Amino acid sequence: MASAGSGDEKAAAAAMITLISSDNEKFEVTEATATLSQTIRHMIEDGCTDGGVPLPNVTSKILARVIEYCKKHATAAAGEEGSSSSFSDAAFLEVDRAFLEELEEFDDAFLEVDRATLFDLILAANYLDIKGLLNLTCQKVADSVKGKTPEQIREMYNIVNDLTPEEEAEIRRETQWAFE
Amino acid sequence: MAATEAAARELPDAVTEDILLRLDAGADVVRASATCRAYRRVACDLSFLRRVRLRPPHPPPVLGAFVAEPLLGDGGGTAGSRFHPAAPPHPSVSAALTVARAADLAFSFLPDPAGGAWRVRDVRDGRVLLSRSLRRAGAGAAAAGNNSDDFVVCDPLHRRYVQIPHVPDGLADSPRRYGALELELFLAPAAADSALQVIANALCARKMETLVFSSATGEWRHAAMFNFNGGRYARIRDPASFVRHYANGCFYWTHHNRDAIIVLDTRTMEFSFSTVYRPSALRLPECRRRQSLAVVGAGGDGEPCLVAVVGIRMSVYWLQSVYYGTWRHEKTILLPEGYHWYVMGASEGVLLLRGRHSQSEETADSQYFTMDLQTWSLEWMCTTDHTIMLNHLYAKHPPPLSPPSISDGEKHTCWFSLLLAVSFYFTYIYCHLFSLSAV
Repeated sequence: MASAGSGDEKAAAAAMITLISSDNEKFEVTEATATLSQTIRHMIEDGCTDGGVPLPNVTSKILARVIEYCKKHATAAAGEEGSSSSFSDAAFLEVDRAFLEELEEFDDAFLEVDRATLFDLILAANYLDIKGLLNLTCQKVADSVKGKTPEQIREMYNIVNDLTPEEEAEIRRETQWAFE
Repeated sequence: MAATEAAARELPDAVTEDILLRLDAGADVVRASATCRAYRRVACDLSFLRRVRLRPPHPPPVLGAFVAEPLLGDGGGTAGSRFHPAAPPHPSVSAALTVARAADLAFSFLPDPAGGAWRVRDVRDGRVLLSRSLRRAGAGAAAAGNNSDDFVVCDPLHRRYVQIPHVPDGLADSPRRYGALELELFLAPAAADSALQVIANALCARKMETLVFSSATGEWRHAAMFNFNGGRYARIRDPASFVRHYANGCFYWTHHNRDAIIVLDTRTMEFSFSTVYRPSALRLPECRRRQSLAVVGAGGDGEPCLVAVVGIRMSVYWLQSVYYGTWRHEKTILLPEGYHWYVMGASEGVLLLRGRHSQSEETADSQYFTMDLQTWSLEWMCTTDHTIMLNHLYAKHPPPLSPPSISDGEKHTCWFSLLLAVSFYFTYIYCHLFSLSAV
C-alpha cells in the first residue's frame, strides 16, 4: 500500500515525502500526491517534512485510502505543466474527457465504503485539508440524508439523540411542514 | 460501532455545516438538524444562516407573483393584491402550492380589513411591504402622495406584521417643497444586524433624498442625500419614469430615455450618478421603452449587469464601471418569436419577462416567463390578464441574517432562526421590538 512509483514518470522523478499514521505506519508518497493536502503543502513550504510527517489523527487504514485518492487525483493535476499543484477543480479543465470520466468512476467506487469509514475519511480530509476529498465525502453524506427522517438519519450514522422530549416536541410543532 | 458514534458526533461544526449546506430542500435541513443537538446548533448558527443566504448554486425559485386586483367600485378602498402562483409545468409549482397552503398570501391577518384592501408594494427576502390609502383621507390622500398611506411589512407565513410609522415631515414635505415628484417606499436587502429596514426615497427634480426605517430603533432616520447639481442631467423633469432595480447590494434607477443610472449602495448608503454611454444597440427606438431595460444581479456573484430587450433579442451587458458608464457586451439570447417582449423586473437570481402575443392585439392576456440569471434558461410561469408589477415576484428567499430576538427564550429563537434559514417560504421575523399580541 505504501510507496508510489507506479506508472507516472513525472511523479516518480519528484521528491518523496514520508507520512506517518497514528499507528506508526510509514507511507512514502510523491510531493505531487502529498500536496493535494493543503496542510502537508504548508509543512513542505515551511521545510518541516524531514524525517516524515506525523499524522496523529489518521489511522493507517484511512491514510491508505486517502493516499489512494490523492494519487489518482494528483495524476490528473500533473497533466498541467508548471501548475501550482494545489488541488482545484480548475486544474481538471484541461484534462481530456475520457480521463474525467475515469476519475468520476474512480470517485464513485472510492465512496463505496461503510459509513464509519466515510466519517473517518471526512475527518481525515478535513484535518489534511484536501478540498476535493472533503467535497466528495460531504456530498455523499448529504445525498444519503436527503428525504430521510431524523430517526433514519440517526440510525444510518449512529447518532445519539440527545434532544429532550420537550425539545423534540417543540421542533415538531414549529417545523411540522418538514415532516409531512 | 462505538467508534462511529463518536465520529458522528465529533464532526467539526464546519464540516457539519458544509454537509447541511449541500441539502437543497429546506425540509431536509430541518430534519437533519432535528437528529441531535450538534446538528441543531450548527443549523441555528448565524454563520450558517449567512452561508445559506449567500450560497451561489441555489438561486431562489420564483414561486409566483402578486398581481393587483382591479379597483372595486365603492371608490373608497384601494385595490388589493392577489398571489398568482407559478403554473405547471414551471419547476416551482409544487413549492408554490406548499407555500400557498402554509402561508396567508391574502394577508387576512393584517389589521382592520374593513379599512380598505392592502396592496403589495414590494417583496424582498420573503417579506412583503404593503400599503393602503386611508379611507378617511379621501381625495386628499392622492394629493399628499404616499405619505398618507399606511404601510406594513409582513411575513405571510407566520402571519406577523410590523406597522411602519409615517415618514417624518421633513422628507414628506420635500416632494412639495422641491416640486416633486416621487416618494417611494421599498424594502432594504437583509442587513447583517438582523433589523428590518424600509427605505423611503424621494426623487426630486434636483436631488434624491433617502430615509431609512429600522425595526431596531423603530424610527426613520436620514440616510443619504444626493444633489444632481453639476451633473449632465442637473434637473430631472420626470422622476416617475425612473425604474428601480436591485442587484448585489445596490439599487439602480434606470431611465428608458436617458443615458443615466442612479445608484444607491445600501452598504454605504451612498449615491452615485453615472452617465451611461449606452452600446449602440441600446439606443434603438425599441429600447426607448420603459420596460426594455433592467439592471440585474447575474451569475454566481450577483454581479450587476444590464439586460436590454430589443425585439426578440435580449442583450446582456456586464457593467464594467458604473462611474465611467462602460459596458461590455456579454451575450445575446434569442427569446421565442411571436411575442412582444417586456422586461418586468428581477428578483434575486431571476428575471421576469412578459410576452404579449404579437398577432392578437386584442387579448389582454400576457404570458409571464422567468429567466434564471445563472443559466439564462427561460421558463414559462403563468398567464394572466393582470400586470405583474416590478418587484412583486415572490421567490424562495434566502434566510435573513437576523438572529430573531423573539423573547420566548433561546430555544424558540434558535428554531426560528433555523426555520428562517432553511425554508424557501420562511421569512423574517422582525417583530422583536413589537409585541406579537398586536395582531
